[in-house]
Amino acid sequence: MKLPNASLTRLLHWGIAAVWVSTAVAVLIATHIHPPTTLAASLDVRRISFKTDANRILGPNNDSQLLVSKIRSVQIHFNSPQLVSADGTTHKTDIVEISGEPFAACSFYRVRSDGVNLERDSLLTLSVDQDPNPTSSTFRPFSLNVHGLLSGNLTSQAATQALVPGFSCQHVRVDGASVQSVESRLSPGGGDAIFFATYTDARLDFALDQGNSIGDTQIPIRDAIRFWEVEPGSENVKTVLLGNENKVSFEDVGQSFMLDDADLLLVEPHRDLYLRRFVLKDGIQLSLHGAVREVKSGAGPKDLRTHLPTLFDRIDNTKRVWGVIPALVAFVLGLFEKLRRSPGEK
Amino acid sequence: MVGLSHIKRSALAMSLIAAFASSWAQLIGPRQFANRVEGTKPVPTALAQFTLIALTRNAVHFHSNDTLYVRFFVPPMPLAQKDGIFLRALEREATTGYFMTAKNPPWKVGDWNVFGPWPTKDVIDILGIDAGNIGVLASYRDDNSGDVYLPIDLYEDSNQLSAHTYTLHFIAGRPLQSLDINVSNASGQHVDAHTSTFRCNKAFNPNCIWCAAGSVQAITFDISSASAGVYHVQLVGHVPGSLETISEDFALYHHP
Repeated sequence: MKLPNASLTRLLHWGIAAVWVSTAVAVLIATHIHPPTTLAASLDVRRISFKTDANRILGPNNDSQLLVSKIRSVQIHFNSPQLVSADGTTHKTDIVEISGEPFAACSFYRVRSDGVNLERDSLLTLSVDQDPNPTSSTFRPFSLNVHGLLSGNLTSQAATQALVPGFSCQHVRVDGASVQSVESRLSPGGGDAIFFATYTDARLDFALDQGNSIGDTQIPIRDAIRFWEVEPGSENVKTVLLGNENKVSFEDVGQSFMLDDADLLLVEPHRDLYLRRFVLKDGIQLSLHGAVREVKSGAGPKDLRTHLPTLFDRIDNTKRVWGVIPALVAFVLGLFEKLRRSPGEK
Repeated sequence: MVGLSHIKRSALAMSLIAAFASSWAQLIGPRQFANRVEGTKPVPTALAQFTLIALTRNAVHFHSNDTLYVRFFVPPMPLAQKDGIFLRALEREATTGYFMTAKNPPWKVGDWNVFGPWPTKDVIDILGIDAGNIGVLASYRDDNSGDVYLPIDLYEDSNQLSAHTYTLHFIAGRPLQSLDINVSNASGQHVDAHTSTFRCNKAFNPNCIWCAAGSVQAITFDISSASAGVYHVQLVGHVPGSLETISEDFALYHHP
């Protein structure tokens, strides 16, 4: 089959135009599509809330004091019998079992914790007390709130010149009797084994020994993280970012951006987003890694802009793809050149 | 036929997904009910000196699919002040951002008021909020005293109303080593409220804390034998390792 030259020329022009128009449309669409991508972020915050299905959190830490609210039960196996005082009545024992009434709380002094067990999907909040006028240089306050049940084991440490291992609880039941408070020293040489469990929405306040830190790694994140909080008595949103070294990178496209310490940040996981590491320093220094479907930042809640790379960025990053367009044009031209000639013609 | 059936199943599945997504999306923000607004919103997490979360007399430990009622006494007041009566609920420990605010209330002055029905299945059960984590606060605005809080009873059945002591739930803005409570009547005279001692044991640690900054505390006091009227609860907190104190005065209307 041989087409007339005029028709072939028209077809050739339309073909070339179609290739360029479709390329332009594809580019336009690609610049408006933000597919999930891999995020790596390094942030310093004073507070972070996230949902996780991890069943354990926090590495080993030594605490001058650990304050636990919403206590459900406490069992203490003393290394040597101790004098336990409940509402002023004392008795010597080597084991004490306590159950919590509503709003029960316990403090444990000079103990070592090897982390806490989370009993189901939990909403966790980690925060540091950014006290503008720190009154005690001895402690580094850090807290963990858990929307869900938790439990943990503690081991008492030997007494020092200033600190004595001990415990005290309020609003609890001891041996079935309701008491306002119960307290006791723990064995001076340490080694007492303590188990505690809480109701949901418990809070753990750690007063860490100076020079001691706390952190963890590989914590899965199952929902959006908003790096902001709200001021009391108003709905004013305030950032929880600290410092000027907050950086977010998108590994798939080699892009990154720095955050101002007054910016708000929103991260929505796509799948397999992890809190790769967090460690308590001046604030909570954390590293996030995994697939995200949205990353926004801005100066206020109505100024949040997406930073997620577009499909075009991803294509652009794979530079070889641009070789396809001239190849496609060459293919179309070749096709028409073939059609211009008759089957037997060379 | 198989194709049509498949299409129907797909349409049904899509409808269910859309309905679920719609109900979840509604939960993200406030939901309007006949007698209240209930849902989630960002909640305050930074701190003042003391932030009052709840003032309760009876607060039952409800379960899922219960229907709650809130009862409180509104003292006699000029009709113009009636608009300042406020009833709201928040989480004690803010985790899901839950809130509830009563709306269009036909509050009666100089009488007991009952707010409800407040079904837990609408929002509380969906968010998985424990009964112990709901704080309810009622108040009115007085030109002389500022906010005056009205102790509430939270119940499913009025037979559950037996307690006479009040429980005050608050957040401390600073870590505290001890807390002093002073209850006085409207003329400033001290009232014996049978309060406990709130302090940590400094023998264990000279810089111990009784409560951490930002944590929620509950204190109980008893003025059930006192006559009706406005009373003041003054909280004075002592910060560890310093002479610094924080204080706040809360006015409440006691009706025996």
